[in-house]
Amino acid sequence: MEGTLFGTETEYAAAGTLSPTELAYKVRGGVFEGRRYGLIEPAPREWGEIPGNGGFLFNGGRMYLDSGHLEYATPECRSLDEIVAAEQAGDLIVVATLGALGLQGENFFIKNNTDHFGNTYGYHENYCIRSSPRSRSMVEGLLPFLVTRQLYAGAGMVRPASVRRRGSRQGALPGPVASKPVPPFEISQRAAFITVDVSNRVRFGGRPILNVRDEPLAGGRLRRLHNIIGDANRSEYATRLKIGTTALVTQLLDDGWQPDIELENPVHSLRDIAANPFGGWTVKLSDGSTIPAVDVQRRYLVEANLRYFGRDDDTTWVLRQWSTVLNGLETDPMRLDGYLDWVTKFLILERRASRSPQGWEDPALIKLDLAYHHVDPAVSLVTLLQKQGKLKPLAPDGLAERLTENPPSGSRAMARGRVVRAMAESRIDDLVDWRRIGRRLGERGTYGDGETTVFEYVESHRELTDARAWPLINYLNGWSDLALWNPSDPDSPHVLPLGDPFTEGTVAADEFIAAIPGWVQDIRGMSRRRRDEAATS
Amino acid sequence: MPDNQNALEVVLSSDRYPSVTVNRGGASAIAPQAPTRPTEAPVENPARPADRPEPDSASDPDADLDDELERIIREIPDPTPQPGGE
Repeated sequence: MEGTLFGTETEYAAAGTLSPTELAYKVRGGVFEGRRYGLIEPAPREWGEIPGNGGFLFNGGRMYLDSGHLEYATPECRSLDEIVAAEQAGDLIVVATLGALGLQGENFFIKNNTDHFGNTYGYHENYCIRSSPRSRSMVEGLLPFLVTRQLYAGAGMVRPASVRRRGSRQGALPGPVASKPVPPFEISQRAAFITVDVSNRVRFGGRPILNVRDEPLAGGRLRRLHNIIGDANRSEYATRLKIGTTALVTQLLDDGWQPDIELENPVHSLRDIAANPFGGWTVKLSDGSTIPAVDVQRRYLVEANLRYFGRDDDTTWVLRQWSTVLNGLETDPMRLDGYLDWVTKFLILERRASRSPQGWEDPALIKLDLAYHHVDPAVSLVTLLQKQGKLKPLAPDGLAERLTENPPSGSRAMARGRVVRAMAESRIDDLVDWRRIGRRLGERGTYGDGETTVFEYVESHRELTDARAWPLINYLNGWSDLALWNPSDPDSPHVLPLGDPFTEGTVAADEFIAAIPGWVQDIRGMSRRRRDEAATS
Repeated sequence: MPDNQNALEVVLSSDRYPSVTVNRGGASAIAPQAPTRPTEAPVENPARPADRPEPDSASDPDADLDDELERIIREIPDPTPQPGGE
């Protein structure tokens, strides 16, 4: 898609004979054991990542532990085919690793956003933008779009009992569907957990519709929109539409256009829409008027259509499908069965509920809801629906498999993935003395009832140089650069800058890769000398 | 406003329900054309719910699906509390 770039982060849920946290821990280890899919990172990183918490993958993405979840960040992608396939590559990696560890069949990963016990976990989207995510134009322009985007991007869920107890606004269906009984079903998995309009935080202090964390992970004037309101979709069609429309809207706002729509209460609108699976959605504006929620979306569609139609294949696909889906949502949402996750899931659950003496209180409904999000094909409801032709796969055959071990084209992920593989082939991680990292960069402290190590976090190669910590870390890979220790000149590490995410950087990467075996030999020699000196002193 | 001659025609439902308005200029101010309906269907035309047989029909094509759903319900673990994320 022209002029844009995107990636996503999935926090997997886990279930089986092992606890979710234990399972996440084991599979994280399995992903990097024997350098199966990537290279483990020795540096303690920001956001509480201890040494060895995760690492970059050969596909240019990243796998790590976060808040007890196994989390997968896709590489940066330039096309809708590749972002869909890159997400699926993460699913394939975790399932294959379960198999390699002998855990498959009894333990499972689930790509969703709620456990039905009142907990939520993230699916985050990242878009390369040119305005600050904190700018007034970006905030005001995105809020109405994100509140109503769930109409086609929602994954759907059986409303958790904890949410029902909290007293959401379900029951207040708008005019045309006011007489229908309201099932405990939400079209979005995230809406019920959102409490504030805007915040630079993602969890504590209020989970926002719009996260304005300003962490570019790129050079120049590029910025990053870190969007946390989205659901983890299983429908390829919904994923393409979600990413494609959002990318176009960020481009509209970057180009200076504004929708001139202000919702009276975005959080209430978000929840009202989510609680109604029947259609006729409306939102109240700050001037007291009410408009159809699909028309909020159309406001963006009209402008994107005028500016971008015909620009490239992805853009044209998005504009056509966006228009068609909004019409479908307006006339008969259930016609979108097999395309939108929430509709597809709702019809399966409704069918089951209609045959169960317990109706919508049948506990099997929650298991079916979860089955929709299981990523192991043996028990995945989505896989079953695809086999039966009810849910259409759109990504090219074999692309997801290829992206488990290779980077997508057209972005810096190409250079990163290839360099990480070259580092792994040189077995650079064998040179890391993990215990010394803890002693040198960590301090023992108490937390709660136990002892813990508090690390001095490292984010850039400059910090390592300033701290004279290269002999400990040896290599430091990041989104915007990759670096190795240079024992001959500790103040000048070997660095491959990746500040421009739109550039594959293959020439520079090839030169860097050719030098890696020699550099690793230098590091190995220096490490040996240091050990010998320590032994004799 | 950009002039893209190839652009799709998009119709606002506000044009069909004149009682609703948008903030500035009204909905019609942003509709590029008179109401017409895009003809594209998402990939292929999904079946309407009314076209589907009744659930208890003898020739219920979803009978196989029901069997598979029962198998999946048996095989997957019960709902398991997860750590809160982000």
